[in-house]
Amino acid sequence: MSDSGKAGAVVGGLALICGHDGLVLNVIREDSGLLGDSVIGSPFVDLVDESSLDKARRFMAEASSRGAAFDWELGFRRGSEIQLLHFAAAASSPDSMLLVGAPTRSAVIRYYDELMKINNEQTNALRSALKSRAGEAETDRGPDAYESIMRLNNELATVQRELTKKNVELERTSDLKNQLLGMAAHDLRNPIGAIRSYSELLLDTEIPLSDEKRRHFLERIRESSRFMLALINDLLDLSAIESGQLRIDSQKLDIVRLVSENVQLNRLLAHDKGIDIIAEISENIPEVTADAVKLEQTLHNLLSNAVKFSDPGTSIMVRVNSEGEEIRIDVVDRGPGIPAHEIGEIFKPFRRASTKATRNESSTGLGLAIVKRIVEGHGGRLHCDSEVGRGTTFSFWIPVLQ
Amino acid sequence: MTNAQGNGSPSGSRVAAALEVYADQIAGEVTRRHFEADSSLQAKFGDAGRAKCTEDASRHISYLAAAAAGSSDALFEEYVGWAKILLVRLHFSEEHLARNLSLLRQVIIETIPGEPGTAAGRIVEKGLARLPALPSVRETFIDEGHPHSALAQRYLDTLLAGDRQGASEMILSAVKSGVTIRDIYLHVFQTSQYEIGRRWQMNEMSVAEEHFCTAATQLIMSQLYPQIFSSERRHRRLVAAAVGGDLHEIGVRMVADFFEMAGWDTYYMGANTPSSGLVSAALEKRADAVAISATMSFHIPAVVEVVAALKSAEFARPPAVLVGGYPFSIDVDLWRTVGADGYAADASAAVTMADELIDRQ
Repeated sequence: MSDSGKAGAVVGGLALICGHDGLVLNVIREDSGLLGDSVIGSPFVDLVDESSLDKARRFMAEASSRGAAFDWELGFRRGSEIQLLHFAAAASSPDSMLLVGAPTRSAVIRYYDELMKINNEQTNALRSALKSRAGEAETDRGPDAYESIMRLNNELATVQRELTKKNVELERTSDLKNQLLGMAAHDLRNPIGAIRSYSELLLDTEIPLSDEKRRHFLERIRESSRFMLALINDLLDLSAIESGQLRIDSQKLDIVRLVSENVQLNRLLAHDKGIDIIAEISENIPEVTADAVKLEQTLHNLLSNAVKFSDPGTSIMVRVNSEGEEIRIDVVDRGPGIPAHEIGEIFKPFRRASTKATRNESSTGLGLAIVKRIVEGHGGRLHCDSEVGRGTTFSFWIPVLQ
Repeated sequence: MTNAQGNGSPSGSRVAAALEVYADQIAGEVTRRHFEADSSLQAKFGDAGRAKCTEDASRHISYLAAAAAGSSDALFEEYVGWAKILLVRLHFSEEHLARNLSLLRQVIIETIPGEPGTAAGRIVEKGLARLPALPSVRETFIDEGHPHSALAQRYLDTLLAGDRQGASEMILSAVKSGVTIRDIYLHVFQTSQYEIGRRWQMNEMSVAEEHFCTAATQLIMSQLYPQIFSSERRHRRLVAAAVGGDLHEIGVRMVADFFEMAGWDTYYMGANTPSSGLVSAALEKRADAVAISATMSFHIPAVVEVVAALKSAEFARPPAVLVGGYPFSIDVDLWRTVGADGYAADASAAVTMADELIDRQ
């Protein structure tokens, strides 16, 4: 029904008969409220908004020359707004055409079905034209244009997908950074507090201190600063990795030699605690393409961890095997083990297992997080197997070829 | 002609190649004979109709070549069934199609020398024999017995009324009320896309409407992305693409999204990725799986090429190669023929299949 200027009101359609000269001969239905009073006798193109004038002329020309036109969008003025209507036209007699307009293309068909019930004769022509041409896209846009739009839309959808993915990743990284920062600040506060207290004690001339005490305080200060340095180094490593700057500088390397040297180095540290490190290296281990410095860091982290959590008198085993296209390295200790429910957590930054180092050695809580990222950066994987009271095995696999 | 294979039946790829070489010539000749035999055609449809008829014949040949390349006569039979529905709905008779196909068979045998011509003719003959038994209507995909069919129907109706905003709100509020994104994908988006294809084929919907609905669905999907990408990562990587500039890439994008929801990292390459680009992406991303889709059977030769390129590339750990799309559901052995490691009927099954293939390695 024709409505008043209510915003959002449903706009009905309209149906007109026009001559080939473009003049309106008759108004069959007017449910749109878009036409003025005296339209009969005026050119159809005068009814549309100025912005659609050219298009309306082409629409009429096509309808007249081809006998039908389909899916044209024309604008009509309603107060200060432009209302768009989809139009279809078909020759209804040798000298006249039926024009049907409605807000959407499917509404044109529905509206037209309505008309069918009222006026069979004049709408028959339009029905057959609509039905036979529906699949042919004979509109003001050719099939090529549709294809280009479709391609464009596909590309936009792909870019949109990529952007959203990146956004979620960024949010995740940013959350992690905040978390890291909070935990790092917390972990730095204790050693800074210790350094401050001990240095104040040392500076206070009124407190008599034995040389032995002074030495002890200075050692605590040294240990605290060492820990802070280690923490900051790890933090820098991890944040470089997290921000996507983990550069794997791949070169062909002799992994057997790399493992042997690392075992030698850690053996010295282990020796102080009365722990032995045994290397068991299979024969015919191929050269691998990997980053030597990063692999050393990985092995050193795992081995020094094993030493920290091993009791004097026990031994640590390092095994190197070739498995298919990968090299597998195991670091096995006989330490206290990690409870099963904590294993999933230990690779996350600052998540330490509840088990304590046997001599209360300090740990930054970042080592395993770094190890995991380095191994995965090589296209490999890391696994932890542990049993409380029996010990822990860390295994990692890296592909021979990068 | 030198033939290393002797007198045996020629390989599918040779038949396909021969068809491609002679395609234009055959299509032109089929149309000429058809218009000559039925003079009413020229009067009714004119030169534009003649051009369209040649286009149709070229399409018959493309599908025929795909069936040959995939060693799958069923693909061509399926195509004949599809063409029957389409033409009947456009007010052509079944006899029109039958005559056109039988002219096609005749012209192929006369034009392509030797076994490839005979082999191609045989495939057409089989399709022609099936023609009378094939249905001329396709039933709706929105089946009341299926979950969320009412939502799918309302969604499609809303889109067809041109109300993109309404359709979007409908989906977002369904998700808010607890319908899973997986269900929305499988039972609303997929079902409505199938239904849109059917209505176009049945001449109940225009190309413009089809494109509008697809574009709107893609946009609505993208509003769900923030949720899709927030699942816990599992460090498995998928590279996904449609082949050969296939415009119908919404399906494989849905597959990629299902992998995301299952915690995979996915890299969706779009439809215009050359096979070398796909291989280098798979190498660079260290893909655990590659998903390739073809919605039209004439894209099968492109799938064959991509799979071969992937299989001959030097991976540290070769990715599992999965294929999917309409032709693979018609011929259940086609995935083997194209050299893939597996096929899955829908997005959900694809994730399960990929995980299984990798765990088995």
